[in-house]
Amino acid sequence: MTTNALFFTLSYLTITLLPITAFGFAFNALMVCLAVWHIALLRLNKQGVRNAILNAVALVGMAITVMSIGIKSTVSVFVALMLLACQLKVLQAKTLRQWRQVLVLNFFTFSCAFLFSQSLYIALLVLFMLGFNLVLMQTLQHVGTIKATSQFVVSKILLSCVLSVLLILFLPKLPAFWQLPGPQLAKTGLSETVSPFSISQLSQSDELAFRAIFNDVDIQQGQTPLYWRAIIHDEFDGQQWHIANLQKATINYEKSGGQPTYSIIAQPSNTPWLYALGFASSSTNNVQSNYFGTLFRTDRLTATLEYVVTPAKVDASPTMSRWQYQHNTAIPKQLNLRAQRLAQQWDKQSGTTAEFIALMRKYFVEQGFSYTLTPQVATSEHMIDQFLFDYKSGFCGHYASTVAMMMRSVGIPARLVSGYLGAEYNEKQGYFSIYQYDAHAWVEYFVPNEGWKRLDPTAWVSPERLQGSLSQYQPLANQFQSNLGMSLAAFSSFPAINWLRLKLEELDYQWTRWVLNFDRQKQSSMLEAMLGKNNQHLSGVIAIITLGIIFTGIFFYIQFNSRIKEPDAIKHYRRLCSFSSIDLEHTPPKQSIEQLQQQFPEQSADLMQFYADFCANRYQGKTFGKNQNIHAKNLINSIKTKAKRTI
Amino acid sequence: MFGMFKQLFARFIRKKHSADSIAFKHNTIYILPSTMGTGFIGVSVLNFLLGINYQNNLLLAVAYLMIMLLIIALLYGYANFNASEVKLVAINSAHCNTPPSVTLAITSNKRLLDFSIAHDALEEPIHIPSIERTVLQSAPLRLERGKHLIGQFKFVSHFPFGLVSVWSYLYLKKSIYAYPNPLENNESMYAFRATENSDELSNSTLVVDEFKQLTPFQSGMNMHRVSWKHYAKSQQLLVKEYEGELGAQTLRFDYAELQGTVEQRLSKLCYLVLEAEASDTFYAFKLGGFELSANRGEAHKLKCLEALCDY
Repeated sequence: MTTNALFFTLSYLTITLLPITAFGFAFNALMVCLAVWHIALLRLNKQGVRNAILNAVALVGMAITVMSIGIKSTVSVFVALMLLACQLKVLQAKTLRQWRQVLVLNFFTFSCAFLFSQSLYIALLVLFMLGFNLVLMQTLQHVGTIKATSQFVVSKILLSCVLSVLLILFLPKLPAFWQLPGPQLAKTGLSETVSPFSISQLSQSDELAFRAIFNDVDIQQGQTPLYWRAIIHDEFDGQQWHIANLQKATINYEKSGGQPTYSIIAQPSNTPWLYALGFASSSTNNVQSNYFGTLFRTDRLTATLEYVVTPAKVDASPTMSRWQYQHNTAIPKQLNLRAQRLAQQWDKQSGTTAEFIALMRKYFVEQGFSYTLTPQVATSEHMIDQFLFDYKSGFCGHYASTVAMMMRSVGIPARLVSGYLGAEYNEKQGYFSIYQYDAHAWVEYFVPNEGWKRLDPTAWVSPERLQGSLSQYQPLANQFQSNLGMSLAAFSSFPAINWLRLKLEELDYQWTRWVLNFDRQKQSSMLEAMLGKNNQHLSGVIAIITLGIIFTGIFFYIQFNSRIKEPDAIKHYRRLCSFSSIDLEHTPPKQSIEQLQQQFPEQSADLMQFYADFCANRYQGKTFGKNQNIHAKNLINSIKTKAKRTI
Repeated sequence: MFGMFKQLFARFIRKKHSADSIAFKHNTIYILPSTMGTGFIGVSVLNFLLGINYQNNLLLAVAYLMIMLLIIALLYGYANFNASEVKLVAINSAHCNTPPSVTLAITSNKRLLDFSIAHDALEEPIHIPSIERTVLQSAPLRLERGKHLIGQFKFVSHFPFGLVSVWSYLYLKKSIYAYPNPLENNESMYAFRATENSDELSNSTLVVDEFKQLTPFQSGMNMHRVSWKHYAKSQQLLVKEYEGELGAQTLRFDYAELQGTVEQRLSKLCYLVLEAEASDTFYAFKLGGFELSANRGEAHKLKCLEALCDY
């Protein structure tokens, strides 16, 4: 029972403390306390805590859980309460029946971890825990040692895994019966407001943001910078850029001819915003495109999502309505006066927008602006002035905000776009990985009759940033790595670690692609390819029949395997007896052999020899070796031919 | 409704499984998920619902995995039980406290795991973790005084994982006796002399000690009567027999003459029978309408004891 109890407590603690389940400090502390209490009880060899105490602990625990997590994230509270209840049950358990209840319930509790993360590692962890749980179920019956039981369980689990994969592949997938609240995930990533001036250190994460899979090879690494658009910000209040009101306004675009589609596997971000290159629309369910040509989902992204992106046709000669113009040129007039004056000065010197941009660029380059991940925090309310004339260093947010504000101040409609820039290309598998540290912000400005154009002022100060991913950008390597903290990407300068990182990344890609995103659409296209268009409905039947055949096979295998094998000597003896004309089953061996000698006088000597071997093996404990075996087989063969002849 | 079904099933079992031995094979093995297994299915359904509603392939996989495990458990459970045999070896009638027991031989040509024997009169099921070849198992039954039909034995295995119940029955249409527990009587058994022919008896008491002859010793004879003199001389064990022994030692136990409640009186009677048998005394036995003339020996004792059970 101690193994049981210890295993349960440790596994609940593991699930609680996993980084994917953000239950809050208070709940974690509670679970640690309960675990320590339990281990102390085990050391003192006490079992079962009084119900009154447990009830009190349960009430306090529930209060702590709700306070620690908050009632809003229903799923987290649910799983946390589940863990708490199981832990208390383990503390209470005394009888065999209670242990059994815990063992069965664990199959639910452990798999709840999948609500928060479906990564390969979590899957392996849960599989291991379920396997050990099964071993414990078996040992409750006191049959065999833990080692023997483990071997038994491992083979059964592997078999069941294969069979369930078969079922997942072929059993028709059902749609969700009802909408359940998703778990609230704490995620880093794009934020809906951009306020670069109040950030002193851009914390970077090497977590994956999404992957992109292109079917054609045209888009290859390094040819054109990849700007993945996600959120449009078109309202500036002097301090930060706010998300556009129309970000969630659905518009259907016409498909642009000629351009190939590609698919993106987005990691859970807990926001509805999706990524695409340029103007895009999507044919995937629940994925919509908005006024700005970016994609979004109707609900928050709490699990990985694979969607298809279709490049969309942009209006050839766009014009802008009066209110749109006003909206896209609005700035707080009383702030950043120096920057506004500078912009107006450039406006006078230039005739076209292009010339204006060239002047801006000249200023940034000549004034020696630099790119940094650790900028100074703005102290004045004229934040852009301070950046433009004093600090002269910052990251993408600073440059984009400044340029967009200056363009607006002279009447050029401009807006901020946040998304990702660059990608890491995996040559073997042919896909791009985009990480959180690739997050970027840039500017889009409007030219009448030409439409919205992209402008990336960050490129003026660090043009290398445009190619590839930030992890491959050498000048900032030190800063980048110190901001990452402890992670594999931080050590990517060591070849072995970088190789390992890329391998793990590839594995994770395959896992996400084939396991997590195997949805109804993928299933039906797979079945169509395998069974043809009209036979898809047969897949379920095929799966059941296959299972039936497999189980029948297993059944006969077990039957065959569980029979105890007779020693060779006895096997040969029985074979010899079967040649006799009378039934020798109940006669002692000596008489049987004599009977056979009478029947087959020619083999008399050989039979005697066999009897001697047989006795030596059975009664004196000598081995029935190779020579004896050969002799016995020859004897059987000669008698067999003889017996045939007489018939 | 449920009760009626249960009765029908019991009758079916009685008809099908009444024999002295049962071979476990496809038509005598019953197999269903156990209570734990039912819970397991419930949890699997929960996982399935969660998996569908979150479109979570891994949760679905766990749900399927559990069902597959259950089916595999059913197969292994069946294979574990199959091709084994239970045979009745002996019925050991005894006093309630001894207690009476039934000896069964469980034979398997492979390893039979987690085997338990249940019977209504068993205090708790007998659990045998592992059986290879043959195991003789005695099942001590807790019975009230009386003659009982042994009835139904149930053999259960929960191998593997405790998820399945594989079971079968053996219905023994044989009787077992639970004799009353002997209760020491205040009066010595010699107080119960045969009263009829009292004259003869009184005469014969006079010749009690008249030596008759020496007979060779047989095991079970009273050691007090061995003639040690002869043994010392000739190394021969001889037993002294006395004239008039038969008459002198004839006792008569009558239920009607004993004090106490019915059970106490039966227990006392039982004690007297055992005592008399131990001292090789002839005794007659009367219990209500049942009467046995004076005799001795194992068969006589059994008759008396069985009569005590039937009363």
